[in-house]
Amino acid sequence: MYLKKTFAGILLPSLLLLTAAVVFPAAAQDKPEARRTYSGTVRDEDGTPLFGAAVLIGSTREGVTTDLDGRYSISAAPGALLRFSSLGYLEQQARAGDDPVINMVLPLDRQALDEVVVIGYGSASRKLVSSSIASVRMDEVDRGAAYDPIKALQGHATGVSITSASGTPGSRPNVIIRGVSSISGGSAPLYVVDGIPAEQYPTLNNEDIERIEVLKDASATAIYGSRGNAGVILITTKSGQRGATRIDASVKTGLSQVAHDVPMANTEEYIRTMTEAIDNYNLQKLEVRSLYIPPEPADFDWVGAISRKWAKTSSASVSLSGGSDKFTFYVSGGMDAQEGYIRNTAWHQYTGRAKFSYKVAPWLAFNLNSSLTWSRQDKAEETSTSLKVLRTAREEQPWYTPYREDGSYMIMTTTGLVRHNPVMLINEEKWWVNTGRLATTVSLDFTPLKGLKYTPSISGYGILDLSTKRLTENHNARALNAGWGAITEGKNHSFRYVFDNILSYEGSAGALRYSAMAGHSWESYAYEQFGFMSSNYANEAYPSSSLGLVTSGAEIFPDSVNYAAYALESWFARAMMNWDDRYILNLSIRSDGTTRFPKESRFGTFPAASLAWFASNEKWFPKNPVLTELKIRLSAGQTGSMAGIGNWAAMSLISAGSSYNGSSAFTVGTPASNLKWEKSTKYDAGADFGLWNDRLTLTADAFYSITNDMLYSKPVLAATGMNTVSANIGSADNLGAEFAVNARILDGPVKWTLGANVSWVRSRLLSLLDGSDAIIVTGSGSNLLGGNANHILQNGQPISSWYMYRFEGIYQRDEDVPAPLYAKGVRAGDCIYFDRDGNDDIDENDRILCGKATPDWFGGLSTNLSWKGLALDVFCTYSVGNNLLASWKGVNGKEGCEHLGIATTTVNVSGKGEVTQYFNVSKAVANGYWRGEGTSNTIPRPVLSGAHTGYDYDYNVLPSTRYLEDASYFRVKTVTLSYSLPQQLLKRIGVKGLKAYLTVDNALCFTKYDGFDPEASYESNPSHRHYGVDFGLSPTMRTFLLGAQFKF
Amino acid sequence: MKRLLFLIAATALLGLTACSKMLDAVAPRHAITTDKVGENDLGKLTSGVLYTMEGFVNSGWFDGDLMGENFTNGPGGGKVDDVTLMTPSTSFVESRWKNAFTSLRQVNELLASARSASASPTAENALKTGYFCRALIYFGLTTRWGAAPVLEKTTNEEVPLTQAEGLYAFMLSDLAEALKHPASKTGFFYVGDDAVNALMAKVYLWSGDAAKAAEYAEKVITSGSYAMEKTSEDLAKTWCFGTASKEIVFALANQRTDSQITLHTSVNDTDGSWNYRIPYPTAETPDVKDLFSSLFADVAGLKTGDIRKSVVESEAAKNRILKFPNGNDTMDQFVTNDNPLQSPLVVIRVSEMYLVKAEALGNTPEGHAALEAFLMNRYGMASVPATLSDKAWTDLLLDEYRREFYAEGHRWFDIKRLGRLDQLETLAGRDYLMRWPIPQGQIDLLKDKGAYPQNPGYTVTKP
Repeated sequence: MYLKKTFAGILLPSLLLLTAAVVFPAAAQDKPEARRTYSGTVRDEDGTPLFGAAVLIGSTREGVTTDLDGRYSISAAPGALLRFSSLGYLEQQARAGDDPVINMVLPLDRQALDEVVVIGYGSASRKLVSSSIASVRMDEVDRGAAYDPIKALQGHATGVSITSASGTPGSRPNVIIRGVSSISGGSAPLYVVDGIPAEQYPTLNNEDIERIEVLKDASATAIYGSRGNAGVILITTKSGQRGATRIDASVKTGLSQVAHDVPMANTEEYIRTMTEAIDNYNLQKLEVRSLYIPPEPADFDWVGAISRKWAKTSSASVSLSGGSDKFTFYVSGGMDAQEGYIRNTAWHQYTGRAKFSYKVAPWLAFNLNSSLTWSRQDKAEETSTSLKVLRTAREEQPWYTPYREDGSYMIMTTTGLVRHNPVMLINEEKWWVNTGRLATTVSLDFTPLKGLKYTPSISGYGILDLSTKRLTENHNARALNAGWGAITEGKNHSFRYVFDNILSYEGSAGALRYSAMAGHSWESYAYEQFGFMSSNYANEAYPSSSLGLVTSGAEIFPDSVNYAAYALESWFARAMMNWDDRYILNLSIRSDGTTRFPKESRFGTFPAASLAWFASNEKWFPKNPVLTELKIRLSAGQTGSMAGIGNWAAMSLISAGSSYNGSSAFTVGTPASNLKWEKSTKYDAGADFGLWNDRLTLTADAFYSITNDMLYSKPVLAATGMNTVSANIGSADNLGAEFAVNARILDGPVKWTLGANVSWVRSRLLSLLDGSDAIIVTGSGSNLLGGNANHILQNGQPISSWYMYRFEGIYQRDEDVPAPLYAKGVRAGDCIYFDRDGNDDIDENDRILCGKATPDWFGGLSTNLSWKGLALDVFCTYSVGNNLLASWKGVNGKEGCEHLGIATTTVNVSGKGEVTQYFNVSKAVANGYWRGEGTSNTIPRPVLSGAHTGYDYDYNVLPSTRYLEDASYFRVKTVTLSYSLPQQLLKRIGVKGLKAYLTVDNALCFTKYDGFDPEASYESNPSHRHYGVDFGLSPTMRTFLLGAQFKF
Repeated sequence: MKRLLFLIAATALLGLTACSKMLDAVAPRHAITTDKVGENDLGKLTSGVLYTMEGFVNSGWFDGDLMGENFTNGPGGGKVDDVTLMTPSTSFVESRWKNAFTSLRQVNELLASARSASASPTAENALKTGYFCRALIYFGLTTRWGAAPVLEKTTNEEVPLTQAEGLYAFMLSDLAEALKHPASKTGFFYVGDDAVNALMAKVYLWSGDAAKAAEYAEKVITSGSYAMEKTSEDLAKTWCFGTASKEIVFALANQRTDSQITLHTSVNDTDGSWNYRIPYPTAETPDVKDLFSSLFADVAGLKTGDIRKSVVESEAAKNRILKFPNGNDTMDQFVTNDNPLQSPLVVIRVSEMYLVKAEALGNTPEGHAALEAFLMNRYGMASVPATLSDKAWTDLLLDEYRREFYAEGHRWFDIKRLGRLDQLETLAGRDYLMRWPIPQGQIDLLKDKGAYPQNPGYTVTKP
């Protein structure tokens, strides 16, 4: 019943409105004799008719408004001045003359649009915001090839470091706002889409996004209390505007290639290098080993066999929007498809959104916002440390090809290959993840009194993950194992609902304008994982289409089965006071209670305050044409983090799930820990300058934050039965500065704008464990990722600090080698490491601090040059001061592109039996290794394993700064040339706007790093032992795009 | 409109009031809180301890082989150039130490629950299992480090190290306690009196009480429940899924449906890609000593036709150890294993009791007779020379231990117990390495650093 009424309520007024606009012409005028009738159409710059625009005569209030098609008709005396205006557009004037038709184009008032900034649980006038918020309108950002809106933020917002850890389709960027302030608490910000906090990184249609706000200081983030520590990213999607219905469509398509390749040695170079390694070994160990070379060596490009030379990418999106005084709507659909570098990998994303708002009565509005996303990620085994197809392909012997004469695969060990055949790995496995996301928010805006607003809302957010992996029996790397999982399926789902009640009031008293907001929020989240696998099929049915073909019950194994849940209850309030646009005070407080903490310490309170002084609005402020605006801001406050705590940390649990001899079993879990919130206290001081009437704007901020009660898994004596216990023990701080400048250099027919920003952050760990000022970050890290102890947590140093041997060159003569090392087999051509303790030997004690994985400086640079419809946009990003560990080269292990003789496998060669064969090496080392005094001081000699003793793997591959490279870069991220077709031309084809463009994404990168990309990282959390490690994943590619945007 | 207004107010009110208690309603599904565990759950906790022990036994399974120069690990197996090269910061040393104590916590929690429960067959069985498993954990600690803190219950206090003598006493008292409680489950997958007696024999042997060792070993041998298998096929089936081997005194079932423990993946992998490098000569490494050609070699007049040879090795698959059949018969396996993922972890076999008895009785006619009883089962012949030097006697014992328990983690420990360090080539005079170093990471965590004195010979290194 209620539903019916609502629908009728929406439809009827819309229809009435439509009829009224068509039937009743503009009001008749009373003095026809002296007047003539002028008529025309008012449009925006894109040619869209503007509904409800005012056409006024002179300075009077006499006038008419435009209809749905933007048409007007007015009676005015010739020579009268007509003023055309509409909210959000700059007013234009025209003199009534002989021509009875006056068409008008109203340019967008960009300042007015920027006026409003979205803040947590509300919005505020930009000029009057007293906290530190970076605001980016997505239409103004050249997104290049990114289908991901957050990636497009890179370099546009100060204080926000965004890096693409890999080019794997569907991978997420690493986002750090204002430095690293936590170890366990994570450094990923909270994402809030249209007011609803997202559990994970959002998947959205780029074209749907109106704007993104990054909340940085405590005053802005404290309203999100317990999740504000790492900053908050607010994403606002587009809404319908009243006026004629408009259709926006965009398409783009492009091709991507590797921007900076890592070429491998060809057969000749490979043979030369390995021969040298064997010769060096024989000479040193007085042995007579020799290199086996197949009778007819081929020269095969293994990486080429599993990768795409050109990967396709394309996007399309269409939206329909519009509305009347009572009803607005926005409906859109989008599609993104991106192929990955590795064959078979791809990302497909389909999005739909519907957003309605209906004014039921002057005091009540009803809003609905619903979005559905479906994505499909086709994956390959590239991140796994066991199969790792890209590394495997690099290191395969170039003298073999993937197939034998009978068409079967070459197989590792048994038929000669040193690594699993990467072509087989790619061809014999299909692995994909389908993800569906449905988010819906229903809210009411209830405005019973002027200034008072009550908004209850309920939103639900469901995610369904369906993953399938299928292997065929030809997958030699897996199919021979019992329980190998010919088919693995996972069906995981999560659901979150949020119930908000927000009451706000806006009012004024004299020169004081104020607003107050108070609210309550209840959030509940649950995640269930259900996965199983099998390798047993009836009737040779595999590769099977489904688990339905599995016959024997005993052969079905659980894969991932899990349940997680938490709930959060919050109370919050904010007051904003503005005295005469000169003094602005903002106070907020939030209290959060979570199920992750014990009852007694469940609630945490997070207050914040900020003050802004609009100096240029003071009467005494000298009116001058140069400094036209000056605002000074100060803020302080507290935020928290609960990310570092398990869902059940507050409980002592007995876990089920294990069994013994067929009977179910209980094991004793970790006892409840008495934890509380990790809290950050943040300070910010900033100033906004406007020069020459905002022709040049400058924003500068300095900040300091200190995190206390930092959550950390504290190591405890093993005899307690535990190895670590979560505790609130550490503290860390961040000091930083941000500076952004935007200039309209040329403002005439040729327009030229320039924007630049720079951020500097210094992060430090202040304290962690009692009685110890450093912990080497250990764990079960694979040596493929550089070993397990390359990071250190040291007081006074950044959380991502590196800790390893310092490489100091190559011994050029045997006489230079100290005796203890000589005894271990070190000779001329081997590495020199810094001998910290001066004992002439190299051991664990010689490791030292070696820089960090997070940058000191980063930012962006953008410029736009336009003339008439033609525009050139160039956007650059840069990062300075971070080091990256190139583990793909082979750090502290026997594999890798720069092993120079230690990576071997004993393989079977037909007619020969077992022989030792060697992994391939990169072209760079094959041609650059040390081959006698003075030949190289950077790349050691090739020599087989066993020449050096006393080290886990080999002396030359010790984790050292030889692999730790300067990852500073300056990147020309996007270059776009666009052309907006002139209106006259468009009219003929019935299109209101058409812009065509050519873009090169990731055009150029200036860096010393010699891997694929200096932004690479295996892990996203800076405190993780594999952060800043380049494992050798798919590269971020260079993309050439052709696109067009239409308006109908 | 009034109705609508009413609706809004009602919804808002409902929302606000419904939420207040809901923070208490969120609970896990895979677990229950400690206060909800009752006496009825003791059986499940006992199973949990045996499950934990599977992990404990697995983690150090090959230590005695790798350090005893039986073979080296495959690639990715964490091989070091020299397996005896241990320092206080070596990671596998610390990981074994940690594993022992996390397992011990499960055992001590079970004992605490069982002691406070009212008497029942389940509680009795829990106590028997708990005391036995605690002794088994301390056996692992004692034979490696020769020192450990004695923990009768879970505690956060710093308990100083007790040296070997005290640890033997602790194990013996636990085992004596275990014998006082009846078992409620039968079969070698559960703790029975024979398993307790067998461990007792081993502890006595290590502690130097030869008479008691022989006495307890004899108890197991003469219990009538066990017999050594006499053919290669029957012996090889011992390590297969569904084993009914009469040799097994105690084994852990390993019937897991996930996190399966598979010994074969370490030495007998199925894809043929790994090479376990049981040392054998190749064209490039002609100097490598071939262990296989000598391990099960015939010794004229004394040992011929060792039935264990084909259980462990074959010429066709010489880069792998067949004792743990991988289930893939195309890979020259000796016996078929129907389910390699759920094959038992055999902890104590009766054959060990024969050897313990012989070793305990020593180089005496009784000792020789005891050894001959063992040899008869493996060769179908036995003639230990009447007079043997003590060295020749221990040589003989060590050779049999090696053949019998190859890939069962014995070698290094047997050499250590018999004091024949000359058998370890890589030791090269560094005898202190026969006691593992106390992990430096643990010493660093102590408030009183003196609580864990480092074993002799290790230099303390600090970054």
